[in-house]
Amino acid sequence: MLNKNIYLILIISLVFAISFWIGFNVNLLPAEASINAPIYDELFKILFIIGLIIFIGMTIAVIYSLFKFRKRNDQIGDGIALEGNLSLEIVWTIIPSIIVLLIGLYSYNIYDRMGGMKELNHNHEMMSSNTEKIWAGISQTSDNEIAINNLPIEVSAMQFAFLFNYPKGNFISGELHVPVDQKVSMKMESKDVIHAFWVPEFRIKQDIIPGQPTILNFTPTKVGKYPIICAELCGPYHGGMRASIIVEEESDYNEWFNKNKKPEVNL
Amino acid sequence: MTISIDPQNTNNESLQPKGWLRYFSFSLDHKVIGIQYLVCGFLFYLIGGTLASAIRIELASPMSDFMPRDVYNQVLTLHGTIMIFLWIVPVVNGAFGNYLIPFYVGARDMAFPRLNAVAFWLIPPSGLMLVASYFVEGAAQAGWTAYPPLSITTPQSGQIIWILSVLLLGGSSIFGGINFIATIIKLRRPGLKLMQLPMYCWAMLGTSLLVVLSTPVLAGTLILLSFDIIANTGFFNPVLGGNVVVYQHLFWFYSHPAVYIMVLPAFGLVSEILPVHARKPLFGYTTMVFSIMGIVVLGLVVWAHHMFTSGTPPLDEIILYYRHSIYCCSNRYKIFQLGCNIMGRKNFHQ
Repeated sequence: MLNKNIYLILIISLVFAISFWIGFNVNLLPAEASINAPIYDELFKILFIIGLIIFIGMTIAVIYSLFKFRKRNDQIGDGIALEGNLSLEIVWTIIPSIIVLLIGLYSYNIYDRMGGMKELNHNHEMMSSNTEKIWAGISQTSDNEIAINNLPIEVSAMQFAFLFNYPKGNFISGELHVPVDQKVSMKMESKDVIHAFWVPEFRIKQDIIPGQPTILNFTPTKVGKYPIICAELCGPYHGGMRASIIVEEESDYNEWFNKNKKPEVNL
Repeated sequence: MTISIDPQNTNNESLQPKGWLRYFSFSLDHKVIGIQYLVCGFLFYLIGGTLASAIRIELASPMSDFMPRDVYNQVLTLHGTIMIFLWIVPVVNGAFGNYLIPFYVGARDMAFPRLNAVAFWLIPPSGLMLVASYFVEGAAQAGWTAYPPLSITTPQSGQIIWILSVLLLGGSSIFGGINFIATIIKLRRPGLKLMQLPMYCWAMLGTSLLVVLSTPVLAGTLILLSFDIIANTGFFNPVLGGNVVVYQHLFWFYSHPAVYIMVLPAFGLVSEILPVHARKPLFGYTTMVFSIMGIVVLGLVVWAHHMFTSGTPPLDEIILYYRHSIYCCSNRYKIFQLGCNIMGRKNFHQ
């Protein structure tokens, strides 16, 4: 009996060890290129590990039972009529419930750290300062903050392209250029059908909805060129609706910005 | 003209064709209807599978070389709609449910045999109509979700035929659901208590409750969408001040439970087959029943997790998230239960 328990404990700890090892060493996600990305990946890793523990554990249990309790030649008739075991059932209802509730609390925390809760905290300001209804994406900030700190960009999506308007430079670009380590605030609106702004490396995805501007904030952390992909079926050329986001050093960005900048037209 | 049928014998033998012909007749026999569902569903499954192969062939290379882009979207839409509304739902509900439920509850037939036959015979015409819509200006091309405004701006005839067809299929599954609920609640053999029902009956009861509660919402939504398309109303058309996200809420209010409409009967079948092969009774019957009913109740309130990117206010997202967490528990519970069933098959009676 003691022997059996030791084996059980060994197997369980092995399952945990393998799951943790895979969870921390096998990276299935693309590069992390924004402030949101590591926060998001933290949650993903933990969910992945919990999933692995359950998956590997259940698979071992099923395979073991299939071999151990298979029908032998000398056995006829039925197994014991075991109708259930209330205490066991209570245990495996309560343990997953606790795990799920903890994941819930934890993801609330993650969502808050990504800035998704800001609208709740700034609810009064939002209500008073905006008559127009703006829907929040990740990283909501109030309008005042956008004007002072961030790089504002207006995104308009249409079949089948994204256009990026830089109000400070008074020009429109087909490529999104942003300086590294600076918060970008985008106000996105669609001209026709629903599109979505998705940058896998930034771990952000937000629908662009006609008639209802959405706001999306992010801070890129890695210089490079990343794809912007439309993630909502928008018509025949949906598959080709892509753009690039180019994250540059501040100096390169300023050079590009000044080259494209148009003087204000005063009529 | 009146046809007199002996009220004691509604399945008047002389009125029904014999042999294989009865599978093409308006038969009231639940076994015949079950097989009709199964075969009809399988034929549509073959069509849907062919469309899936077409999608894969197109996607084998990055270029658009196998079919034009708009045809690709039509194939995509038809594939999704056929697989969901003409294969999974009719087969797991209609086919197995009709064939097995009367046997399980000890009834001579379903509660409403004629409604049952009507429910089946709505499927072939609406399915054929859906497939045939390809030849009228092209089929619907807004995906099986038909999100406006895309579904309003793509060619109208295909989208309207799609809506009509899905409405008929929805009607068919509502009829089926009402029938199953009535059969399971009212036509049990005297002495067969609810808590003694086979697990498949519970699964079908849960499924049918979901069908009856959520499918009318889809029907209403699609009728509003068709008004937007035909009559230029502005329910979901942003140009006329409509709100596109409202459509998504209404649509997923059906389509999330639809996931459970598809999987609960399959869970039910597993719960019947596994104990037989393990030669033991089902482990934890009572709690399994509660977990099915938990899935039914919670399945109706978690639809918005399909729309996390569509700009839902954060507070709603959090509330929905928690609802969903609780709901996962009830699911996970069911899986553990089944796993436990095959364990510990010891102590055979010699």
